[in-house]
Amino acid sequence: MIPVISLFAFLALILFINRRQLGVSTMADYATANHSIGVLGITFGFLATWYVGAGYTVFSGFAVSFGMIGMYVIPYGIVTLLVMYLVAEKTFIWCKKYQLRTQSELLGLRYRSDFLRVLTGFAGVGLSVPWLLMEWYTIGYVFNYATAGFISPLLGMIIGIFVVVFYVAMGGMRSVVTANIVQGLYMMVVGSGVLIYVLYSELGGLTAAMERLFYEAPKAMTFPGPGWDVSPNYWTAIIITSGLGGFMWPWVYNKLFAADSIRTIKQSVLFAPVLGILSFALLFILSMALHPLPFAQKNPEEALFWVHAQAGVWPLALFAVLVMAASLGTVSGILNAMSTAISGDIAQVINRKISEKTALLIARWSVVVMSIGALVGAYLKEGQLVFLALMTYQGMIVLSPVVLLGLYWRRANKIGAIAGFLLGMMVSFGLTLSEPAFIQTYGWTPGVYGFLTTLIIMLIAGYMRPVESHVETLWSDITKAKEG
Amino acid sequence: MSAKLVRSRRRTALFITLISATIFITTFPPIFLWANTIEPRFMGLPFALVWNISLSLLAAVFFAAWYVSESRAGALDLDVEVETGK
Repeated sequence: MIPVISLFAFLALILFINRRQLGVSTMADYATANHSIGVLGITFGFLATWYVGAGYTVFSGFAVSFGMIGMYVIPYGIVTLLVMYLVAEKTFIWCKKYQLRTQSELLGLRYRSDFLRVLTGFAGVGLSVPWLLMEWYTIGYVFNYATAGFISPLLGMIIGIFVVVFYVAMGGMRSVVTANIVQGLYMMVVGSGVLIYVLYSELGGLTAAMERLFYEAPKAMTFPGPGWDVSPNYWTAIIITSGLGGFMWPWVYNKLFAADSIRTIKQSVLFAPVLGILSFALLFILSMALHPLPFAQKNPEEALFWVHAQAGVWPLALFAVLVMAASLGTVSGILNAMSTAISGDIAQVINRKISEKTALLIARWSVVVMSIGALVGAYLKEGQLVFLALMTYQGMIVLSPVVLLGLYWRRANKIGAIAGFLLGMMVSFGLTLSEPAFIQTYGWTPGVYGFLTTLIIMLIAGYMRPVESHVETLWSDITKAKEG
Repeated sequence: MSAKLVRSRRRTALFITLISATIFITTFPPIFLWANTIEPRFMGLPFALVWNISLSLLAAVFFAAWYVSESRAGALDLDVEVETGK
């Protein structure tokens, strides 16, 4: 009973703290909170969106099964934050000057191409779908596990959808970030506390847990882990692809558009790595420590839930809320970004006569329709969600040359960006689906080849054409802002 | 190009190099394989794990230094005029 009360109390808290944010009346406010979010909102907005609920099931299961390799998430986070720091300045200046609302709109402006805007808008929406499905499923799973089967996964998903759809559709980015602050604080403070408690109560503390791992499964303490033979290039590839792709998700990138200043964004890069490193390290150390336990080896994705249930009803309740907080943070960010993209980057580009009021209505209904669609998808396709979600990273990394070269290289042009993006996607997904032998032998993931394809095409196209005239104007905006 | 912009570029280049160096050391296979060992252990944690966490914390220190350096140079309080034509 305590876990289910805790879950409902947390959902009620999210709605309560958002009660004053629900009257959003313009599309700009819905998409970017009128560029008003401070450092607390951006830091926790970033962390709560980036931390997925599946991190406590699927990804921790990876560390339970293979040990140390699960720690790739920490250096990958550093790559992502470097990208965030690098794109912050130009994104913020152009976003404020031209009143931009989304990553795709930014690319449309930089490359002066509506086609690229719509294309990246579609890609952002399409590649986010598996994550939305997986997080819905996680919410249903949390309810089901925490209530010992009393609430079915389907009913759990419906309860979660009702709450998230309500505050995202009504409050937009403002509600998403307000909820993210609560979710992020819970994850960092209470979540870390319960993980430490379980490490000591169930495994005898850090040193004892590691001693057991050392004597019973030492292979889990180094790369690649027990029962797995893979090239060390794989380590490099997963860090670079995840790190470069990690900040390209529209639901993460769009948080930049909500910030009130560059100082805010850069301050959040100060706090995010330390908070992220500490909490991720804790999560993966606990997961690694579970490796020698027979139940955990047989059920790696369920291992963290199981060990918290062993620790008692309160640890289970607090852990269930932790996973719920992580899932809600991601789901709300995805829904906000997808609905903004559908309305602003697709509908308003295809039909420029759509008013701001209608655009807001489209965004709100998009949230409802996507949520119901995702509910059906998550319920029917549960078994394939992890595979699909991980596959999307191979597509997302392809966007990184388009964004980074667009922001830092004047010669980057529309033709190179479009051709590079399309061909890079084809290479990346082609190799993912066909799985040629060299991918396994050499260790580079398909996304690396897709990334290199896009990069090379953009470089060739850049040197084949002169710098476009509008680019000089954009660059002079940056110079003017920096020189004051 | 003004002296302010030149300093800004140099600063950016310096910190990108430092942070990229930590990423390179973490990911470059020969160095990664050298560090991919259990001993010496710290509080029971394998060296491979401590090495990765330490390098990430070092990168976090570089981020902090970058921020402080930009803040002192007044590079974080930019005035941006809104384009009224849109």
